[in-house]
Amino acid sequence: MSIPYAAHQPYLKTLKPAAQSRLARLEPAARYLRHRPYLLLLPLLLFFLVPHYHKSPRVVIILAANEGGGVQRWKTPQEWSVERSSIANKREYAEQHGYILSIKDTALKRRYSHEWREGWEKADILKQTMRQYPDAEWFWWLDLHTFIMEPQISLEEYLFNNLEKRTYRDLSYHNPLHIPVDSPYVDVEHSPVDLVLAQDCGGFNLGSFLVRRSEWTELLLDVWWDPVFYEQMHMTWEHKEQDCLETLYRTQPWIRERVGFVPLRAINSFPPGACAEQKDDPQYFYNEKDRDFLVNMAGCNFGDRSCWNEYEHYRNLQKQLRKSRRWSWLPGF
Amino acid sequence: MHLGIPKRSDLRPKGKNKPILPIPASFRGRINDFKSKKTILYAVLTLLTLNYIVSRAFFSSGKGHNFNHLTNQEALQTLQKNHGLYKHEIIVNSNYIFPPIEHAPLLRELTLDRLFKSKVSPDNPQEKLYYYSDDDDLNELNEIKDKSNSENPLDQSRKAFKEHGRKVFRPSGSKKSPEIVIVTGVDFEQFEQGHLTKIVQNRVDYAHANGYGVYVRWIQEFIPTLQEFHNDRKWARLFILRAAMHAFPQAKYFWYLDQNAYIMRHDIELYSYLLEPKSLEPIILRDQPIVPPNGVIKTYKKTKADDIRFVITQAKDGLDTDSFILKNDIYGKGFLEFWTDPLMRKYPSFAGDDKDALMHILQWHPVILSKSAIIPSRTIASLHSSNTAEEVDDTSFYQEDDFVVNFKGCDVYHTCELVLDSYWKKQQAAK
Repeated sequence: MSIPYAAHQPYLKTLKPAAQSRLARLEPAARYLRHRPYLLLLPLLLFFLVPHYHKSPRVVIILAANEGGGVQRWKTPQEWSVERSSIANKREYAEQHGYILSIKDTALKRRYSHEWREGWEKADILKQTMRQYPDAEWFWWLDLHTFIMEPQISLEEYLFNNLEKRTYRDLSYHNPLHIPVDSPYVDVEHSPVDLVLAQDCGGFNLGSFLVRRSEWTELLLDVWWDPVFYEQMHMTWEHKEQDCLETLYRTQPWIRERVGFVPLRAINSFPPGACAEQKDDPQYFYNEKDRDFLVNMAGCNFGDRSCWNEYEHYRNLQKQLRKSRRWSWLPGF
Repeated sequence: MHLGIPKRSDLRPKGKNKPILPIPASFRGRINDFKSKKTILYAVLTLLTLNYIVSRAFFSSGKGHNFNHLTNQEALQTLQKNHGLYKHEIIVNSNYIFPPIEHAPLLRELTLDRLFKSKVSPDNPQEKLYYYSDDDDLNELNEIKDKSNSENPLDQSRKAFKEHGRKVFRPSGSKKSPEIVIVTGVDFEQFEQGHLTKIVQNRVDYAHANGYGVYVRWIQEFIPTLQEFHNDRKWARLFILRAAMHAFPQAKYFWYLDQNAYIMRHDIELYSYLLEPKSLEPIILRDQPIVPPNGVIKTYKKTKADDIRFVITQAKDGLDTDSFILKNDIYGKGFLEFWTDPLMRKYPSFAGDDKDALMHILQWHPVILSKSAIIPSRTIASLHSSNTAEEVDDTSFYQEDDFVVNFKGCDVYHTCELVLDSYWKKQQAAK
């Protein structure tokens, strides 16, 4: 029925308009714009209207503040001062690397009507923080009395890249608790590292540890506190979840599989005074020449140690080190 | 008088075209000045950059950026080998791992005393404590060397008993791992050979019909572990299940089916019948008390079938660990190992029954509960009842054409053989 359109217009095929250059086709638009140059500013507006693209931070630093505070006594001005500089230290570090700092109150709380469960809140806080920052991957727990000595170090470069190759996957190298090194059903070859731990002279140290959001972690945080375990062991587990984690590590292969150990001085150097029985062993104590990453003044409020003195010492030391680093690029420095 | 009219010499061409006229002398000096300043600036910048690069490369200011100086590189490289309860394992290429059932009477004759080493319990001089000894000489296949080379059937069965736990399935060639493995623990002290043969044959037949794997162990193999905390033999099922997960690492699901249960329908394929989310979704018991009838903790209302790692049945009197399915992933393994932790087995009220520990775990650990599905008994463990008049909509007791029959409790009246026989005959007749 329909005759091809071209058949009626025989000239259409032969007489074509001269091909326009592509640029020439833009000419009307260009002319339009040339008369209204303010329109060029419109795309700029988009920058302000569309929310900026933010890469959500991968790392959350959890700082346990107000340790043991709340019920037993007042805080002294010196303790306030230590807490302030500890927070400032982590805040500066977090800002420098685009991490999140989340300060968590660990004051003593009464959880259950029949007993105190003080000191067992690490798992609860981790769970809560993971809910709070659903996009973050790594969570770095830090006790209050820690101080980052080398804030220029990024965790990605220092630890997370190639993590499985940088951590010990069993206790054969350093085993103060004498936990049997070999365990049935442990498959480290096919497991990632989801928990980065360090051991001091007495075993696991939870003053500074890193944990990755994963199915494994979800389950660990769920089983860490169990009333049946607690009932049987709370008299023996002096360090609460730290001892409990040691027990879980000892008896449950799935937990072993994904724990990676780093030397204490990699994430948690001690000042002289801690680990008193092994005070000559250099593997635990802060070394200025090696520029250790972090110092943890754990236990500084016991015996004849003073948190404030120690804290001031390391704060000033860091200032000095930083000053010397500031000129390191000049010849002769 | 200057009127602000530009002179011709001021109107110099712009853009690419360089001025044809020479630059006025007064300007030239300034430009030269500018050039030399730039040169100096460039020189300084280059020097600093070079210095920075050189110092980064040759002087150890980069040392603070890693902790390699603190670690023993060699120790980092060595990884522990993955193995089961025995370090030396026997590689098997068959889907069906089960002990020679014909050894049952021989093993009974040998008694535990000759299967294990033993010592007197320090707490109770009446009690003998058995323990494993890994001191047998092994050949290159990790089989126990037959020193006496005797044809004595007792020695043969003893050797088979000690070797059986070492067997792991590792597919070679074109063979693939089964996706589902049926796990059963059998007790040669409780049942006669004929009875045990029927049970194991039943598992193998069913597995063969559907391409599954079978993993059967003697419960007696775990006596030393059970003795540690005076656990009931029921606990052995969990150890056997864990060993099965090691023996079939590639399998996706493990179905523990007790020796008191019998698969009636070999035409039912477990995955599409039960494990597939669309099959599981409608039968999950939601908002169901874990301890019936009026326990406070109930299963979640909105559990998704996709999340389920653990499927277990519940009858009127509570959960039933005679037939349950566990997924082979980190949740499944973690849950099972947590369930069998020494502190669980040691707890006085759990020592007698693995079920009590399970009910405790589900009530206290929300993550585990959210991955668990409770389903009615008649799905994978219809209960046997001697009185046949049952309601049609009953969800617990066996009815014609059910998948599995569970005659638990038959040991109380020693009727297991009789009951099994009746179902066995029923099945033979149906064929």
